[in-house]
Amino acid sequence: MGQILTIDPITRIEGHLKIDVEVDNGKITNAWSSGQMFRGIEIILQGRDPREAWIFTQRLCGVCTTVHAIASVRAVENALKMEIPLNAQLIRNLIIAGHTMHDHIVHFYHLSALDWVDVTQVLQANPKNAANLAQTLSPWQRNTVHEFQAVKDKVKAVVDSGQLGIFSNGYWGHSAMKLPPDINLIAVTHYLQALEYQRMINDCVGLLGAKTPHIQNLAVGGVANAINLDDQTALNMTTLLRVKHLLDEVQQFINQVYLIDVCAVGSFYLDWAGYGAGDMNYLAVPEFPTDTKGEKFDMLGGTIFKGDIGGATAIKNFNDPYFRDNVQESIAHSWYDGDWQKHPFEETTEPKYTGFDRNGNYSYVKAPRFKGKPMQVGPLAQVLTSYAVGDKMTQKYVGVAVDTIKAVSGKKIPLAALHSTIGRHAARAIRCAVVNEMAMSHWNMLVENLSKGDTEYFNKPVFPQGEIQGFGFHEAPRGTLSHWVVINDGKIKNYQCVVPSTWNAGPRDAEGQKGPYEASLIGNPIADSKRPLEVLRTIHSFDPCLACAIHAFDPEGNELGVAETNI
Amino acid sequence: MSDKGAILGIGNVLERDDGIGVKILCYMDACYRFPENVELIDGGTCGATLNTAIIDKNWLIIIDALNAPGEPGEIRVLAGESFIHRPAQTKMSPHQVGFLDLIQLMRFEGTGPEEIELIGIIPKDISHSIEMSTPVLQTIEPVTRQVMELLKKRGIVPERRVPPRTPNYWWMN
Repeated sequence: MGQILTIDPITRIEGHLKIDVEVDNGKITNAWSSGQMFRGIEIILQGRDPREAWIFTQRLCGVCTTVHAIASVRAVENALKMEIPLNAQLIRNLIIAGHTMHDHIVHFYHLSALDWVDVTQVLQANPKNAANLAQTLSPWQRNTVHEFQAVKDKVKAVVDSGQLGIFSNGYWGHSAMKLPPDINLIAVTHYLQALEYQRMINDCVGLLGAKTPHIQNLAVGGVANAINLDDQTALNMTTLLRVKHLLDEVQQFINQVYLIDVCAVGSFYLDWAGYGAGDMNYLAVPEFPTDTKGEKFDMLGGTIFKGDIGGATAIKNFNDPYFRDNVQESIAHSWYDGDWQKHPFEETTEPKYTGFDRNGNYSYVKAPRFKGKPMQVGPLAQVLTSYAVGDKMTQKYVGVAVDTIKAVSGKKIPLAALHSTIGRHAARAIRCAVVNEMAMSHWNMLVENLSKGDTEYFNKPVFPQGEIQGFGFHEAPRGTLSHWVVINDGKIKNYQCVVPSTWNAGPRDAEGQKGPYEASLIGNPIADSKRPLEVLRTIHSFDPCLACAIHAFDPEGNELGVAETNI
Repeated sequence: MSDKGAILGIGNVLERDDGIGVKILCYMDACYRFPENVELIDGGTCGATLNTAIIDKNWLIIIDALNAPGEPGEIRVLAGESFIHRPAQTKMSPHQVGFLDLIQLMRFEGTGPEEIELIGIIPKDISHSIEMSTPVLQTIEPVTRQVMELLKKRGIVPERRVPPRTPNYWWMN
């Protein structure tokens, strides 16, 4: 029997995600993913006005505010069989695009790059060589000796002060860190520049959503932005031009920096194209609707089972029964009362904590299944399914990534390499570039439609007596999100959210099928069991976000706890 | 005025006492008129996305639930760099960029508020519900007074609304 490692942020008021891995001869042989916090928004929503649900659901999570607002209004509109005005659809799309780019940029640079980039190695870098290398890979104007030298000095000052701040928990000097010093310097420099661009794209969301961090402009039936191109108090041409300017700026960063960095870093970690594949079942829904009914989309989605890209099935529209009828959640190994597997409309949410038991129940996360199978969701699922069903823009940026990796490593990477830990990062960068280009085209559509004289932005919802049901999906930055609502006499009777991190982080089901996190960890190497960097690499590659709602500060300091026990 | 600041309420109003920061913010907004250079920000559960809201501020007063030893409803005021330069939380806590991480990032970048004070309230119960516990609810007045004291030190005295408005606790309706 191998050794069990537990990784858990031990000192938070309540836990977040806890991963147990069994390690044998330096390799992971088994894994358990446990969400340590109960998420009971569904209960709070019962009896409320469905028109207000989105205001509550956007507080579900600190990061994914916008996405839960979007999925919620779509679910209620679906129940009412409503169309929404084209302007509203396009404004929502621009908000979705902005939020997505923000998430992907922050995820790579500020949440996961330091799993691969050793900040302390920057001190060994040569800014001149770094500039030469960076300039051969990208036309980015800011890849100058001056910028690289300034960042090297900055890192040196931080290291000399002994106050590592944001860098204090890194696994510096770990044997699994393989980047040359100059690449580390390039990455850390872009880590800093990324802060500026994530602010720009967040501003873009704020301009369209009336406010950040919580957008104010959604409504069941459309948006609440009064539109008048010449009126200072409404959504006008000045605002729209500002949005366009921000999209342009961020496009440069995504195409010339983010996408290039992911490929350059990935070129030194091609061994990680061999880890983290898991079951290779993928689910993504179509996004960026271009009509009032939600039947036409610019980004396609569907399902792939066992990596069979040729056999992909498309999910076609907001009413597609292929999606509606095939989602279920299992609580066989979760801390809820019962052991059923049910459709979201029929689910209940009755927590029943029974202690952590790897052979029994071990998570507050339910286990979603599609046609009975665990499915990976997220940018990789979206890119692969889009690619499979013939999405030209996705195919174009996959090509850019393949060419960049070839330029750095001299190796031609097959599409199958995307089924991996490093592949999830590549897919996220590819998707980010696609989303930016799509945002540009939807900006044009919006301006064109407005200049035709169409200023409609809201259709009033009318609730019938009796019971109706609806579902709303959204291809969020972390993957497929769906909200399921049952409304009775105009009040919410049941509400369920099946969120991306539930798909990915869910536990085993009644048949013992592992969730995607669990499956993707099997076979990963562990070089140093006291510093299990490799587990973080694979889990972070999913952009995990569980229990993102507690923000209580601890004055004593919250360090990553690594406890070891033997079974 | 060039000296800009913000009072930032953080927490989840759907998790009982965790939302006390946001609740106190709503209360203060109903009782006082703040000068133009002081912004009240409902930070909710956000981390990285608060970056744009605080980038142009010179100082911040944060109100939040605080995980610390002590009795529910106890109030702690933390100031200075020491609580900011704790070890970062980002590692396994998958929690995007937490708020303190954001501040550390901005420190590294050389941007954001120079002075940060935190008024923390020790929660009793942070399970999923919109009802707060009595000891935590009783901190609304004292924390408000505490904020007024901190503002006074900056030469800022917000004007009382007479009569006060009804606080907009939208999640309670």
